[in-house]
Amino acid sequence: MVEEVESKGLADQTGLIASGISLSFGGQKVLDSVDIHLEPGRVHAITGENGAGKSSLAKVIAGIYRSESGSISFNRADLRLKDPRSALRQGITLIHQEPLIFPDLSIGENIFAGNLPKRGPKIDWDLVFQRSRDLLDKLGSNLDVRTSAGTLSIADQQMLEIAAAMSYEAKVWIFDETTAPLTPTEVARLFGLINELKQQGCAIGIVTHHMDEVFTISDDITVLRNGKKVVQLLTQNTTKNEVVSHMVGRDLDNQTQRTERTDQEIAFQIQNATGPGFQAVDFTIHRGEIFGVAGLVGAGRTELARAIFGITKPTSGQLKLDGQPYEVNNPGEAIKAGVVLVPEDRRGAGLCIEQSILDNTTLPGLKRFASKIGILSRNKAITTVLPKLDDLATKYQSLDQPVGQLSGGNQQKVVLTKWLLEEPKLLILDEPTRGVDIGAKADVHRQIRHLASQGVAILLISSDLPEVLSLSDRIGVMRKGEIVGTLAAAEATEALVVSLASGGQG
Amino acid sequence: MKRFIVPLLVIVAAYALLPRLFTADSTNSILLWLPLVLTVALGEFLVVVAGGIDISVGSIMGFSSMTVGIVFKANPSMPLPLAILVAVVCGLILGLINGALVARAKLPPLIVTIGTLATFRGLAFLIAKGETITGSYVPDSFTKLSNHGIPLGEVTLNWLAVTSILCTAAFLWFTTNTALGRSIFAFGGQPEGALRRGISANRIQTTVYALSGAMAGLGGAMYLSRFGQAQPGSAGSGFELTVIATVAIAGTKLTGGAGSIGKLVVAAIGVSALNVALSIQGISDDWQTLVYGSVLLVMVCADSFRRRSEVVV
Repeated sequence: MVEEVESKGLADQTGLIASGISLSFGGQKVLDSVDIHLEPGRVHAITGENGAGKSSLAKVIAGIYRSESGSISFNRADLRLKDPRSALRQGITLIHQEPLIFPDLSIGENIFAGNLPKRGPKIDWDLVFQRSRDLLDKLGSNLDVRTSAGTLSIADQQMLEIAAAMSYEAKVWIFDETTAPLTPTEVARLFGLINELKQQGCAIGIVTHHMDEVFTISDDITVLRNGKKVVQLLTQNTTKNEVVSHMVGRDLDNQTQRTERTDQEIAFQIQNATGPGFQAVDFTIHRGEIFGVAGLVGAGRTELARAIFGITKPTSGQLKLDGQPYEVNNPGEAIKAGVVLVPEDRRGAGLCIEQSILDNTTLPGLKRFASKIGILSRNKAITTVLPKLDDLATKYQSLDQPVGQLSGGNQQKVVLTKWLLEEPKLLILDEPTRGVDIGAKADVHRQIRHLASQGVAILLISSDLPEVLSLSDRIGVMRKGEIVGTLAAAEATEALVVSLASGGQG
Repeated sequence: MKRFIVPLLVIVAAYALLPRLFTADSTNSILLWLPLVLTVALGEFLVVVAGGIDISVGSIMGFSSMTVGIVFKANPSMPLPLAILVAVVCGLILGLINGALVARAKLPPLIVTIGTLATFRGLAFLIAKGETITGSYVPDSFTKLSNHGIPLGEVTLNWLAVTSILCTAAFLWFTTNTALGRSIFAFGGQPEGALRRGISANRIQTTVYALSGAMAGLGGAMYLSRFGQAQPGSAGSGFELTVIATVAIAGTKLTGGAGSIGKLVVAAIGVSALNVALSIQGISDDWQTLVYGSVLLVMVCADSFRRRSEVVV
């Protein structure tokens, strides 16, 4: 394990020191005089809820955002970072949550883009491919460096970005939520790499809100809340609970408040339905019931949701809503019938990112805010939207703020508000809390329960097992497009669901 | 070879339309068109690869051909290389204006270059002061560049064609062997990713619009040499359509990031042959515009479908 570092005066410390960093967007303070010290040979976790300013801090250090005040120094030399290029030159690199590759370029060129080695006036392509090969070998990858990068998996794309950073011989590495798209094996490999960089004396920051990761990999922890540094801790001297309470600054409502549902009226029924990605699916959801759908990625859960919502069409089978046959050709008809889907991909499918909160929330039901001759009433819209947003404890500056400026958790609350205004009979939630921090997650969970208690039938699709287990009244487990088992909340355990989902013995 | 099918099809279509194209006379006619199409298309190609579009190239050609004509009128004995330099510099300056508006002012390229399409055409009228450049102002030595050159049997590889071939070689070298050239492809394919790698959007956009302007400027000089006269309203007018169609036929990814100069050459030959075939068949310019417009739409659709099939929803 790592020995305790002696406390020295800050002036003669090596590594990267950022002090007094402040940053605002549109008048909103994102970072407020934050200090952080990334020491060589140590992994420093930067944690906090979504919207706490973790990623912004990382982006300031990597030269993507320019701070309004504060200074950054590396090995006692002051740095003036005006863009990512100047940060890269100083050996500071940021590995982003979502890798962005160049799909039409070769893998080798992807690694060296912006940094292509030259011989005389020409690019030395042999060296490009040879060095890319070496870098990928080091990372344990056997990708062909001369093929185009177009079809790589997210994990491989991320590896290209890591290889690119290695080509700069980066000394300061910041990983911004890089484990989100990775499978457990890939995460293990990434952590192996981080440990190796640490041995080589690199200063490493990891931005994450996963406590497991913080305690697996880090030596130091800085907790941010609302753009301020709350505390810095030594990982070995603290506990998950302590860190979480610093992050949230309040007690979490984590207990399940399951109320026995007596309502036996069937709200939604699907009988022997087959369609693109699923077969012979059969289940019912009662009014006020939360029906969880668990399963591995690719088990057909999202496909099922899309078919119910009218994006695709089941080829056979019967669907009933409130006892009436339910057959829709497109989402518009589904919404009219009272079925609403909150999609997994908030930015792409759930929100118009540049539009205001008000515009986003009122979009599906614009007619309701219009006078007889079709003129929209802003007041009507505001008085309807405001209480719903407040119910969810949404944090925002003004209703006219573009939703793109909100944190992931708050964006999800805006999506929920939008659909709640429709007063749906069946609400389909696809991964409602993916990428959402702990605090916002609890708010979303509370709202889901609240909706159910008002009689809305809820179809909850989630890969987050504790979430499915704590929220659902019944759980259908999908595997290869079929529901392989339906469990009542009382009998469902994590182990049982996993074994059904993965095809182990139930 | 499979990837060359579309541009080759255009050549085949042209020759099917008019088998007479195989004669030396027709080949010489094609070689009169090819340098203009290819030279201006090279610049447009880079802009499209960088994820942009330059609609103003026709007007830049008009402006540069008028400028060179006016300079010749004032000074008939001006050395030819200097005349060509004037044309290129004219185009470069106008291209830099496009570049500044796109890169610095962060305006959408389509709107910017539609604006400059009109503005630059207006400038051409202004400097012409109501006159046209007639054949008597253009020295014979200058027009000879388009019908003298390297003899290959009955076919003459005229000096304009030689120039465009040299330009092609230079562009090929630039796009495969220089960091800036490669950055254009990276930026066009994934602008945000390019920024993360320290590639400057400003530099890329300024470069491609400046080069597109310079090539259109050179194209203007070629226009004057080939036609021996220029009018402010017609010189290069509508040429943007020909050139953008060429870039599209070459299978250049219209959203940026990919394209091949080899295919661009084949497409330029195809478009030139088609142009000659349509003219010889007596098909009017209006119909030619319709053909180019339709070809462009077909290519845009093909590009879109190709991308849709890549992303499995």
